Amino acid sequence: MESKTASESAPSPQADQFSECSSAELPDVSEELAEMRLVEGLERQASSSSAGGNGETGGGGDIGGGGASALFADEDEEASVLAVADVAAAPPASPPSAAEPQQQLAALRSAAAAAAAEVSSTAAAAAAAGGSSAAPGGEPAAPAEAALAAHPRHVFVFSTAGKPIFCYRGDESRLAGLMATAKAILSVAHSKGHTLKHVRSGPHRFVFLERPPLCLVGVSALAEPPAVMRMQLSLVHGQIVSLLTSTALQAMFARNPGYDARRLLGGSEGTLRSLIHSFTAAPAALLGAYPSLPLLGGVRQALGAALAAAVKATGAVHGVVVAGGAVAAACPCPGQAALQQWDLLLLLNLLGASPSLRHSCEAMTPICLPRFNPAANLHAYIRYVDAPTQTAIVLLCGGMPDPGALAAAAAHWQQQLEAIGALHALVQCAAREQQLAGGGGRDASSSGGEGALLAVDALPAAAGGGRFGTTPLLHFIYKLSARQQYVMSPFSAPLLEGGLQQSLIVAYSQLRAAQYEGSTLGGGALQRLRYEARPRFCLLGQVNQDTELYLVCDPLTVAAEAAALAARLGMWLHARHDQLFSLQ
Amino acid sequence: MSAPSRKRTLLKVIILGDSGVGKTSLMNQYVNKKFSSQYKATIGADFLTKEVQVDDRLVTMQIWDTAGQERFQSLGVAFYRGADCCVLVYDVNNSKTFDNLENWRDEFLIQASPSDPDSFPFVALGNKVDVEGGRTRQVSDKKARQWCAAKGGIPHFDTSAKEDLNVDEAFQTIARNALKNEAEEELYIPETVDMNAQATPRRAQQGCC
Repeated sequence: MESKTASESAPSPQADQFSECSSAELPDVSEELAEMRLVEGLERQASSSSAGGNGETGGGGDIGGGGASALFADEDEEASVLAVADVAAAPPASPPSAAEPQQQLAALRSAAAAAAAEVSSTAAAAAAAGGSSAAPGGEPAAPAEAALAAHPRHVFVFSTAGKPIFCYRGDESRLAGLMATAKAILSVAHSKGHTLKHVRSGPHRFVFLERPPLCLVGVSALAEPPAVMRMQLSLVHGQIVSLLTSTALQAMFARNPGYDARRLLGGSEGTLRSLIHSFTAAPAALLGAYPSLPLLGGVRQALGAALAAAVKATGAVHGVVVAGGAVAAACPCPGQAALQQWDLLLLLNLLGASPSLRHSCEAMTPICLPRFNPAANLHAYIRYVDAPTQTAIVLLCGGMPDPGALAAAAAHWQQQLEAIGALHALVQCAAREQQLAGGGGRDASSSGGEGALLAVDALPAAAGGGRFGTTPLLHFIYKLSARQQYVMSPFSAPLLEGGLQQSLIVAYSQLRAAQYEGSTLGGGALQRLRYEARPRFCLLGQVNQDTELYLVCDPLTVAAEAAALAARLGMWLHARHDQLFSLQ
Repeated sequence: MSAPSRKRTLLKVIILGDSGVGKTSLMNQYVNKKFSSQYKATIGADFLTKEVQVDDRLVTMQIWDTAGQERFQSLGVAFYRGADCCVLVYDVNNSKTFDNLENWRDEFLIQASPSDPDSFPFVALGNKVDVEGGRTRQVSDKKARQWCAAKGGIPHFDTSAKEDLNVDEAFQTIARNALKNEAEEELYIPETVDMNAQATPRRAQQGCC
């Protein structure tokens, strides 16, 4: 149960420090801003803050909205850059009090206070203070809050009325107070004619995305760039639209602004959670690209040709072949543009998060693809040809589809490919790819003999490959910009055992965001080559006209060595685009 | 993934009234069973949640305790939107605060613009009945009830946040009335993309419970 007694239960010696910092950071603390504080005095909320400071995060380099627009040139994000004020405040280090949720509330409220302060005293928006969703010392009696406290990342969604709709961890109704507070913070910014984009507070970033009638908030303690976090929220919003359509959302809330959208989303929480989980497991969101399944020889051409025939025969709008969590082939009907990567990512996630579709072998489901048409649903006919590798053909149709014709076309597609052995080759590649996506180590043989096509130990030495320990290369991602597709090497056993997968994904997002920082909408990276040495690995990013290559090397690799490696690997990859990507 | 369970209903409750009538105290007494005679003005809004049982249903009340001062009224639209019940509070020892209920009610209806203003659930609370043993009372129970009846039968309670008088009863009524007014669950059947006629999305609507 929420209460506003945080201060009483968590007295903090640092209260004064907080006040000092906030006034130092926000010099024009006018009378008005004091009024705009959403709750009682700062002293009270300050109890939830303690040591911590801007020193650590201040130099971190904040990626503003401007970087975002270039990072995601396809994304219709606003391009304005917001000033971000740091206000020292971290969750209490010592007393893990029973007032955990209250602390978060109080913390967010003080963020509200600072937000209001910044909005009213300067022309820019955004500010920061207080709390986190990951304050230490969870209260076991309240599982939702404990979950919130225990995880470094969080996402929650609420309506413009401030009513909870979804949260990544735990029970959203227990966070009703938190969401109402977040809503109030946004309202304060609005009342001043601004839009709040992100707030930094100690190690935590709160990122806001308003897509009326929904508001989304992301919280991360992993130093993910705000631009990337907004992209993630945009995908979460897209997935909600894909389940409901934007017209349904608008209509429900127009009729009743207090509408409880949880009813409509009921049963789909897993789909959203799986998407949010993927943000730190795969680089799709940070690259703005969908995963392509590497395929040998003429397999893709055969797949594509048969798929085009199936699309033509059924009058489908789009056909997609997915396998191992990646796209093997995609084909629009003549005259249609190709599906955008965002839509494909939502489709991939929906398929991956819905085991019931796999079990039924053949299924029809409505799906809205927001970039294709946010207002209405398509019918997706899905036929799994190999459930363990999640290999399936998907035909997307408008209007009234004919299930018989779709089933016949899919069956014909399957027979055609089986006859020439292409299906077998596809499933084999998918099996390798799945070890990549699913986290390698599950099968001991996978890391040894027949690895994925792009496993570092399977690459020729000339391209920088070799067994673990013989080459500085640990991992890489390769994006074909024009096609919005990427491939990457599997996370090898040493990386997974070291628990590095999430760290690497976050590091990639920071590296890429840094290269694009300050670039304008549609512009390329400002920094074409960037090297970063970190304690556990070093990173190199190389952005060219049509490709992006990001490497992780062992920590002893110097910049020149890493750059030479990138050049060799880049050349090797460049010569194999037809195997790596769908180029139709 | 666990089987989808029926979600606990969430009720958004807005507390309105002049500055100093005891809105925060009522909420604090209700949620935390605490009372402090020290006055601290609410700034902007404050939020508390409480899980309650109404008849056989468990509901979560999200209580928006707003500031009484006029300078915060610009935030009204954002705060009032989507409310399920509005609580109007006055001080029985101050007739001005009672007279202002009319303004608070009108303001709420304008800003929140509920779909059916006449049936929107309000509850009126005359607070501080404990003061001076009732000798300073300016607003009689009769006067209050007359006004409430004229406004479509708003339930009225004499309350004391200090003595915890009628607080639970009042909030129980608030929750019950909010639930009663709950819009029937409507389904919206989305369109399917019509490839032949790209434009003109038709809307298929269907009531359901």
